[in-house]
Amino acid sequence: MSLSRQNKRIGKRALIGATAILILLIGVDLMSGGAIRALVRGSTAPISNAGSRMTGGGFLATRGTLQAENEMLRDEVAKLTLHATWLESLERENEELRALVGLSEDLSGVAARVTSSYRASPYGTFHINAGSDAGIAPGHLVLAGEAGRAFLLGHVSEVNASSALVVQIFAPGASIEALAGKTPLTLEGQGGGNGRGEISRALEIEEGEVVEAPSLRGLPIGIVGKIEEDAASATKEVYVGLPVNLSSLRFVHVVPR
Amino acid sequence: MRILLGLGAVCSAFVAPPIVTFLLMLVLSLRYAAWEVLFIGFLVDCLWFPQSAGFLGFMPVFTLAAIILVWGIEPLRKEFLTQ
Repeated sequence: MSLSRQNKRIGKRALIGATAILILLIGVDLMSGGAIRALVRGSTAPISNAGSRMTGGGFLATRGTLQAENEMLRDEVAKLTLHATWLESLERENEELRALVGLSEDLSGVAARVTSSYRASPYGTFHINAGSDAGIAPGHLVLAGEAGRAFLLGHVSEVNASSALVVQIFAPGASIEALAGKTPLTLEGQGGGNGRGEISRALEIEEGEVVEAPSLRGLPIGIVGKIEEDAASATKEVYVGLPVNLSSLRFVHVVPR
Repeated sequence: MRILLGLGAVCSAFVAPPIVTFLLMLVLSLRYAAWEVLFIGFLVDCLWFPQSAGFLGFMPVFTLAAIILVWGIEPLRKEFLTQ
């Protein structure tokens, strides 16, 4: 038997073995109510956290920035510049935390840090560093913004002792009943904090109007960004977006439903 | 090369857009009898797939995609592409 043929046979056996192990893992995960997933998430949380800090925090945001920083670090001026940047970052973090403090006075809940990337999830989910130990339970609502101007980001789907998985309101494929002023509409998630809905042409709606979710404590979920109207169509398309930049968001507020 | 592609796919599961992970899984499946693709797909779903999936109408897309890639591409790879 030739070596190539033998290799092919070994490769196929490996595939069959791996598929059998995968099916076994899925079976155990289903029967145990997500124990495998919880184990994977728990053990990979530090990697996920480090990854999100590197790519989302701005420090290693672009290769150009990194190269420029490397050059500047060679002399004293660069050290001072870096120091100033660091102070600025602390100041920004301080402002975000102050806004959360204001928010927690309005709504009782828990502040949590986002520990994963927003863009890596194919399901519009992200991780936070607070879990059942902090009193968080599935169904709790996740908010971002300042007191009086907080927007609903999503809801807690799964909870571990010290972390939780959050599903965004506008996760791809999700739909939600909403109210823009007095106009009811059903929004479909498009991912990235954006939703799209259709309403009758006869109904009044304006760009910039705040959209609320009556089923979720009446909290605002976005702002009408664009309205597309076609004279030949009986409906108009409404695009709703979060006024929060998801990629720069580091803290969220979790409140009971 | 296979190890690099595999490591790239694992890293991208944590930080990169899903399309990057998928493309790496596709390249691995086209080039090798890559059993690791199955576990990379499962890892993505373990990390990001929500339990309330039924409510949102999701499916564990990456695990299913991995099975389809590995077993669907196998005859094509065996016939036309190098081992």
